[in-house]
Amino acid sequence: MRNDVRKLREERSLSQGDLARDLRVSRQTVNAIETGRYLPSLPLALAIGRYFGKAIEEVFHDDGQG
Amino acid sequence: MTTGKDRVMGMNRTSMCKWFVPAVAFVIGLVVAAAELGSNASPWQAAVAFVIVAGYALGLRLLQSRSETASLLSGLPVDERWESINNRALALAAEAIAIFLLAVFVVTEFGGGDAMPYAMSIAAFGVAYLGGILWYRWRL
Repeated sequence: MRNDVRKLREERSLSQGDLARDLRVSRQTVNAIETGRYLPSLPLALAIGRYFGKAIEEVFHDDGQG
Repeated sequence: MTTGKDRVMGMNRTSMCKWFVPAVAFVIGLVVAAAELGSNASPWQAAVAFVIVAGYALGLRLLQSRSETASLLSGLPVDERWESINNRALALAAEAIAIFLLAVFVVTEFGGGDAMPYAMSIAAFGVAYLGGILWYRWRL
């Protein structure tokens, strides 16, 4: 599973700490999501999508899909 | 006991009061010290046992807000990833205990010793595991 969290965050000039604070998770968790080490729960994935104004499938992608 | 159900996104478990685990560790320290005294150990040995366990409790409480690991050890995972880490670590520890108990059971049995305590522990582990499957099969 790939995701565009890092790209979306950097487009908004946010630090991992900023995003973590707004999502109420730890900075390490944001880093783990961005690097694909941790797959967030559906509620957190939805919150991430809402945060960036995107649908969940616009942020998270199956491997092999664009 | 306070709850932190809505504290962190994606977490389903009701978290504990920040004093709960340190308080339990403190009480365990008292129990261990009392057991030491009851087994004719010196007061110094009892005091050392208490200080070690109570020190752990105090350390947890002091580091809770600074260290995510200490927060987890205090029963307060900071988010769903730490909750997942906790669940995986618990599963790993359970597997390690099961293997250890089986190994000790076999060695004791072949050595002619009393393996019943280990057999009972293994049985308790198995019952708890099967109970967990039945419970979560119904709940999830």
